[in-house]
Amino acid sequence: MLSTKHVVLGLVIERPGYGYELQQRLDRRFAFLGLSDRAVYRMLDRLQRDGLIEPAYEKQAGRTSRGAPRLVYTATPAGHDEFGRWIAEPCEIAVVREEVHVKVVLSQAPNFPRVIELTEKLEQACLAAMRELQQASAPSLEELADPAFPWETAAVVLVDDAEAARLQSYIDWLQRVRTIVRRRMEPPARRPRMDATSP
Amino acid sequence: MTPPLLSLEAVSKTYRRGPYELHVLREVSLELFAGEFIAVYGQRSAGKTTLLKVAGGFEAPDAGCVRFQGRDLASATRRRLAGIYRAQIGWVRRFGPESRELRALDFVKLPLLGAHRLEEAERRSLAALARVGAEDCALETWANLADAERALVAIAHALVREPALLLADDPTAGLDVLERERILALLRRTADKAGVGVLMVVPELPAMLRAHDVRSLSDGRLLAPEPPPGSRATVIDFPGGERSA
Repeated sequence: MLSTKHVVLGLVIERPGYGYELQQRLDRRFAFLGLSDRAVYRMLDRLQRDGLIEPAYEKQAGRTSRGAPRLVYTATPAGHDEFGRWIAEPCEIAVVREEVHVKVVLSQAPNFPRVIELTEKLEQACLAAMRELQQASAPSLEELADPAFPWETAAVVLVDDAEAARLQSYIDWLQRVRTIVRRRMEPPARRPRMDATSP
Repeated sequence: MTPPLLSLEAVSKTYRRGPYELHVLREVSLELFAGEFIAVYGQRSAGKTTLLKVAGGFEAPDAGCVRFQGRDLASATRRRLAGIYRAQIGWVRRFGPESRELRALDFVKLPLLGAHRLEEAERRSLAALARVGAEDCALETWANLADAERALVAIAHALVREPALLLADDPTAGLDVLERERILALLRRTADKAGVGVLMVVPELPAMLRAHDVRSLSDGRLLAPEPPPGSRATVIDFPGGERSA
């Protein structure tokens, strides 16, 4: 389970900010976590109670709509320590057993055309996820290795690379399922020898 | 709206192997516009090279239609086809020239001979090498070039006639990840800056991150992206929100 508390703490460490601004940053960069607006404020309260962040009124941050000065949160030394501990802590590596695996296992020959349909739709969804990752002006990997290059951008590119590799292994598997299912559906006489598949 | 530079409409291609038929392409449709970079993913033997050969008119489809700049390639005369290849379509020849002793400059120059005087051909070839960042390789023989340099020189060779369409068959094969990025960034720039339509086939998905759009090919079928209904963003955006820009 991803710790929301540490995600919010990480955002504060990345750059101090006030509640609304932190919530916007979380929304923009980690929309996929699906966290509610209130969750951020709840976590800020908890982090403050635990002594991991501290608020201060800052004039530079402007005023709220009601004219009150804004509370800007900064991480305390204890917050930095806790965040470091969390980073090094091993996290869950999911053993993926998804709905699609159950569907494939339970399919019988009469449903093979449906299995083909399913794997094609999932492959198209993988391609759509891939297209979401396309970047117009992504930095080159040479730039990523340069210490002067902002880490928060470099890290996103690295995560994209991992995601693309994961999507590839998923697509490969879907294609393998389809190849096997199609072969099983063909009458034996039309089945090419395995050594004759290369065009 | 401008018509696509290249369009494949329900293209099929079958090879015969003795008593068996291999359906390498089954009703494949694709549109590529000028300035667009499309990458196609396929595993080994998926028919990637056949797709490129048919797209470039080097092989005729058994069924369906391939249009280049609105003209049906199948109905073009041999003479007209030769004209299109010479001027409009660049093929990235990863395996280089027949003779490994040929210098990079001479390899790049080959497509220009006959159409230009020698000095002019040389000037254009040097410019093409400079554009891909391989001007230092000009006087080296193909045998002496490193893999990454060969990839760059092969692209210069394909671009020297300033074609409208560039076809690239796994242009980053054998390269390490930094070299791969350099080649892909170059192909992206070629589409973005020079307005060339780029169609690339690759056997690895991470190599497609710089393309504008993606497809996958297996069992002769070409699939296009289709997000599942009700899907929401799963990507981590850049700090400045550049991805959606």
